[in-house]
This record gives sequence, C-alpha cells and structure tokens, in this order.
Amino acid sequence: MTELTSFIPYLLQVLGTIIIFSLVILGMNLSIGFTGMLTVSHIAFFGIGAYAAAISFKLGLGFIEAIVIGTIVTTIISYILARATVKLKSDYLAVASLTLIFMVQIVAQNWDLAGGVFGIKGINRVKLPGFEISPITNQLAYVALMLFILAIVFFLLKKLVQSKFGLIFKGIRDDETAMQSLGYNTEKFKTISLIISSIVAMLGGVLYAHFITVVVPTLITFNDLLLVLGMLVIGGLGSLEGSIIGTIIFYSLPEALRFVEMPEAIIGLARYLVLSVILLIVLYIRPRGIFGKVDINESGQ
Amino acid sequence: MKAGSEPWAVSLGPIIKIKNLQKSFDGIRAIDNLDLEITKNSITAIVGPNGAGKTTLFDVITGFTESDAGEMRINNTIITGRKPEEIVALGLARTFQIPRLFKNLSIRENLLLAYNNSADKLGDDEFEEKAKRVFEMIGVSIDLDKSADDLSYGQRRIVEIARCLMRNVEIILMDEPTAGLFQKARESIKQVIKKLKQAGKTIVIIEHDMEFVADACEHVIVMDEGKSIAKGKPNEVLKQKKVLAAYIGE
Amino acid sequence: MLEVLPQLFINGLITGSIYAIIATAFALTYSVTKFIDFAHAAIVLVAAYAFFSVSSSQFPVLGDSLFTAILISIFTGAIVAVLLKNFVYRAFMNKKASKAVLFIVSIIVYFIAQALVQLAFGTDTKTIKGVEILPIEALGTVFSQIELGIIIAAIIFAGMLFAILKYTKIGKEMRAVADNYELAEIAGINSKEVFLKTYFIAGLFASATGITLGLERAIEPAMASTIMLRAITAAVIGGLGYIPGAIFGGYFLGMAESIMGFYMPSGFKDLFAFALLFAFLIFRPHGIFGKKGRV
Repeated sequence: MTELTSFIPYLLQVLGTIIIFSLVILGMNLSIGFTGMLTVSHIAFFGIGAYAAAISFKLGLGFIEAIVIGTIVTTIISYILARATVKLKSDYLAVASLTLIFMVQIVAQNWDLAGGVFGIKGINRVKLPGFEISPITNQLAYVALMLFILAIVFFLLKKLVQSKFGLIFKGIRDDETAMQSLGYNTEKFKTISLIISSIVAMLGGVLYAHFITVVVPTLITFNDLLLVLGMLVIGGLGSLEGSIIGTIIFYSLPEALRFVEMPEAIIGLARYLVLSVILLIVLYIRPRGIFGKVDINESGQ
Repeated sequence: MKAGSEPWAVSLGPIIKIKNLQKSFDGIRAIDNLDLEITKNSITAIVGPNGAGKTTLFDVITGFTESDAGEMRINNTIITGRKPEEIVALGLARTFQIPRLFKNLSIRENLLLAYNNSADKLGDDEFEEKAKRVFEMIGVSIDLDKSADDLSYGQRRIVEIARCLMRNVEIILMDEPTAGLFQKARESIKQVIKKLKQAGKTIVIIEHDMEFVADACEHVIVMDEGKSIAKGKPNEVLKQKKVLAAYIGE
Repeated sequence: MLEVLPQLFINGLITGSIYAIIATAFALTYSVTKFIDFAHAAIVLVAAYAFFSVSSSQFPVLGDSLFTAILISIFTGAIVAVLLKNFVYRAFMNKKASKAVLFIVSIIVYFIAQALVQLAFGTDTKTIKGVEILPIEALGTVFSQIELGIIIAAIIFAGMLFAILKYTKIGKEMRAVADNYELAEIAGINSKEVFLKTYFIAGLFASATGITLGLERAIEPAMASTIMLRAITAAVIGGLGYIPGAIFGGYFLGMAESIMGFYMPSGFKDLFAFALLFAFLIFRPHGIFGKKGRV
C-alpha cells in the first residue's frame, strides 16, 4: 500500500512533465510539421514563459496575468524573429532560432529581476481568480489544471490545422512558390504561424514554473534540443496526436532506463547517447516518424 | 463589375506590355533589352532555344525574380518591382515547367487553396460546382480525394492547370504545358486553351513543340539570348532563317 | 582611456583570429555542401581533448613535444571529420535528406561527441600543462607568444587556403562544386571525392580551433557550442559561404567583442554577438560581401 502511495506522486510527476513537453512539441510541430519552417526557437519561448511566470509571481501577480505577460513578450520576440528570417532561405531561421536559445539564457543570467544566476524559487502558488492551488501540497489539482490547459490548446490547434488557415500553412509547407503564385502573402502567414506556435511553447514554460517551483537560467539549455527534436521526429511531423504520443514515448524511454543499474554519473550520459543514436536511426529509416503525415525531408525547404 | 474589365479599359492597348527589360545573373544577360506586347484575348507562344530566357521572363513578369531595369505593365498597371502575390492578384495565373502541386494534400485541397484566394469567389458551397465545371471544361474526370502525390505526370499537369482555373483570372501563363505528355493529354490541353480563349482569357505559353504551337497559337514570339528576334503568325515566323539559325546554333 | 585602445586592438586580433579559423571551416563546407553543419563543433572538441590527452600523456615522445601534440591532434580531428562525412553524412545524402535534416543530424553528431567526451574525461575544466607563457610587450600592449602564434597561424592558414583554392586542382574543383553542383558533375568532377577533401581541410581548421582554444582558454565539454555560433555569426556577417567574408567576419566579431567587452559586463558580450547576427539578418542578410538576391 505504501508503495502505491509513493508511486502516485511519481506518476503525477511524470504526467506533469509529459504535459509540459507536449505543449512545446505541439508548438514545434505547428511551425515545422505544418508550416515547414525549420526552427528550434520553441525551447527559448518555453524559457521565456517560465520566466514570465516566475517574475509575475515575484511581483505578486496571478496565473492569468503571467500568461498574458508571457504572450505579449513572446509575440514581440517571435515577430522580430519572423521578420528577420521569413524572406530568406530556411537556413537563416534555423541559425537565428539557435542563437535565441543562448540569448534568453544570457538575459536570464544577467537580469536582477529574474534572479540572475540563482533564478527565482518558491513559485508555489497558482493564483487564479477566486481560488488558489498549491502545486506542492495539492499536486493532483495542479496536474488536473495542466491537463485541462493542454486539452484546450490541443482542441484549438486541431481546429486551426483543420481550418482554412491550417490549409494555407500546409500549402506553404508543401510548396511556398506555388502558394505565392496563387496570390498568398506567404511571409505574413509564416509570421502568424511562428507567433502562434511560440505562444503554445511559452504556455508550457508557464506551467513548468509552477510545477517545478524553481526557475533558473540553466532550465533551458542547448542540450534540451536533442530531447525535443527526438519527441517531435518520433511522433511525426504534421500530426498533433503524434506529438503527444511521441512525447510520451521519447520521455518514457530514458525513464525506463532509469531502472537499469548504472553508476550515477554514467547514467545521464548513457541515456543521452542512446537517445542520440535512436534519433539518428529514426531520421534515417523513417523520417516520417510514427504518425507523421510529412517526411521531415520535405519540411524547411 | 471587376475593376479593369470595363469595356473602355479593354481596348486600351496590349494586356501585357514590356519595355527595355533587363535581367542578368552573375554577369550573364538572361534578358537583354526586351520589348514585348501581348494582345488581350490572344493565344501567344514564346519559343526559342534552351537558355533563351523564356522561363526567366515568366519569373520576372510574375515577380519571382526582380528585374534589373525596364518596365512591365499589366492592363496598364505597372508591375515592375512588385511581389508575386500582388501581381497575381491583378488576374494572373501561372504554371511551372515541372508541375508544382501540394503533394501532401489531396487534389481537392489543392483546388481549395486556389479557390479560397480568389477575389471574387462565390462562396464555400460553390466550390464543388466550380471544380466540377473546371474539370468538365478540361474534359478529364478525376477523383478529387486522391492525394496529389499519387498522380501520373500527365495528371499532375492537368491538376495544376485546373488549379489555376479555380480562380477567375484574365491571363494564364503556362510554362511548357505539353512537355512529357502523351498525345491524349496534349489534345486536352489544346482544347482547354481554345476554350479559355472563347471565355475571353489571354494565354501565353512557353513551348518547344512546334506542331502544337502552329496548331493552337495565334501569335509567336521567338526569343534567343534574352532578346526577341522574331514575332508574328506561327506559319510565317517559324520558317524564317534567323529563327532556324537560332535553334541550330544551340 | 585611449591608452587602452592598442590592447583592445590586440585582444580583438587574437580573438578574431580564433573566430576566423573556425568561421572559415564552416564557410568552406557550407559553400560546397550548402547546409549548416554544426558538427564542426564536434571536431573542435575531438581535437581539443586529443591535444589534452597527448600533451599530458606519460609517453616520452608524445608528452614532451608541444609540436607533436599539435600535429597529432590536428590530424586526428581532420580524420574524424572525413569519417563523419563519409559514413554519416553520405548515408543521409544518399537518402536525399533535406538541408534541414542534415542540419539536425549535425547537431545530433555534436551532442554525441559532447557526451562521449564527457564520459571519457568528465565535466571538469582541463588546461594544457607544461606550456611556458612568455609575455611580449610591444607598442603599449602585452600578449603572450602563444597568442602571437595564434595570429600567425590564422594568417598562414588563410594564406594556404587561398593558395589551394586558387592554384590547385582540388581547389578549382571545390570552387566548381560550390558554384554549380550539377554543372561540375557534368564536367566530370567527382563530387563525392571533393566533399571528402573539403571536409579534410575544414577538419584541419576546426581542429586548429580546438587547439588554440585549449591553449588560450580552457578545455571543457561545453566549449565548442558557443564558438560554433560565433563561427556561424561571422560567416553570416561576411556572406554565407563566402570564405574571405568569413575571415573578415571573424575579425570583425573579435574586434567588436573586444571593444564591447571593455564597456559592458562580460555576460552581455555574448548577447552582443547574437544581437549583431539578428541585426545582420534583418538589415543585410547577404552579409557585407554577399550579393543581394543570393538569399
């Protein structure tokens, strides 16, 4: 019985983490899988979301305010990113998005309000209009909230990709030149896609801040790229369901390895190596991923 | 009435007018001081040896490539330096040397993307009707739910043309529409072009098949090394010495 | 305040030299293969750690001479680069992988290298021991003989590369493939061979970067990723794929960082480099020397 009661918090921990990752992957899929824009910026926006939540909390603001602030900052920065790169070859967006990850980290490290190198701790209350949830003492309630938010976002994204807008994104992905020849302002739509997808990833960060209750500059690192790319590719581009499932699978793999006996220092690296090799193999054999509608080879042209 | 289709505007000069057009790539003149006029509601072929600048001409007209100098007008509206989506909105459609379909989408979705962006489309419910009419005009029957990836080359070409026609356009530019097609498909395209002319459209095609040109087109413009070296009726032009010389020299 | 300028200038020259070398490696492979190859960072790591192992090894000949250590490390890195190209990239290229996939693959390769290096050597910072630093004073500035060596090395490397590109057969072939791949193939150039040789040369450059970083700074697993971003930034500033531009970009970046570093807290120096990249992307994506419309 005691095993069960200590197993549930572990399960909630895993579930919460999967929900958070799913939001980031869904955002990435909208950009990469549905619109064909190769970008790794979503990790950066995840970090921005986490810090937006942390700083809002520090300033005494509530959960909804945190999301609003995060959305505003994300919209501005993703707009700048889009403007800088949508006219250019896909390489430029890839590079610029890569540098964004580092930039966010540097700003977080050097900004007093963000707690500098030490970050912000104790984000242990989710203040909603009318009531409060304490993620630490009431983990179940918070995970339920996270699940609720994921469900809404998933539903909205599904509506989006099935709409006329979504069709335009897919058209741009498949052949941007043809879309231009049909009279579409592809730059505008690519910008919109990037902004929406960045906001989705940002939401993951907001949830993260309250879940882990601590936000530090090293929360997003270049190394996380491997994890998120893996989740995205395995689940498959162009499939929202695939993103959720890919996240579950790719996240569970290292968790499963956790039960294998290995010295502490080695285990992290071994997981890393195994994930890298698996991702390489998947990219080689089945670039479409499990549920993907689109070959990753056709994206980002 | 759509702007530009008033009767008095129609007779004011050529529908496409190009003057002193220049375009170089890395020092090589792809288009060299080109003057060109396309009469409204005509079927014009642009021919010439490989590398004459024909596709570049299309790219420049449709705004995919920026010209270095010169002026281009459609219906007397200046289009020099404008973006593809702006130029296309003036009533232009274009097909490419190799058909550009949205390969991860169905044929229906390919057509929808064109239809949805048509300035004077009738409404969502009218889409199916229009698609039916377009394919009837082309004389081909095809399953709209098929994936665009799942088609033969000829079918791709036909779908690309059909997609153009889902928008109400005045000018249709086709880049080597009959290349790689068998006789039956060629006939279909010939019929489509003739019907389009009857419907009041202007058609400009880049072609290598001289029989097709002689059969289907009213005017021919011959290009070589970025310049226009001859123009007129197919039978007259294609016999000229300098035209033959341009081809043999290639 | 003006007295500081000569020193800032020299510092900029030194940093710029390091950046220029790695930027050149990147620009070289980009011009030929046309995709953003992050795996140069992996070569930097391999060479740096090889240099560390060899120079701190107990074997007589190996451990004693700095020169042998450098030589061995450079060639180790170059060979790894060639193996990488031949087995990993070629496999994906044969499957008609897009540039996006190759970019992702290059990042994964870097991650693998970083993990392996961490497994073998741990995460602590290593320094090259047994190298005597001789300060040189000139014109109001101070620098070490190593740093002078770095500047000279950059000049020699650049010179050699230009000589290769201009006068040798392989150089001409590389330029042909960079210019127009299909045309080069039709002209009878074996592009696969060209790719391999390009990677060998780029590998030499990347290895040199690892060694200079090892001598000038310190060796630790995360050393390569930031330098790689600097390399890409420098290449973009100079015009992606344009080698003289990359060299210029490297020095430009090094100089700018040196001056900025004097006026700003150290963390913002990094931020400045990236902000510069964004500025170029927005206002001049073809770089200073690239041709407009090439983008």
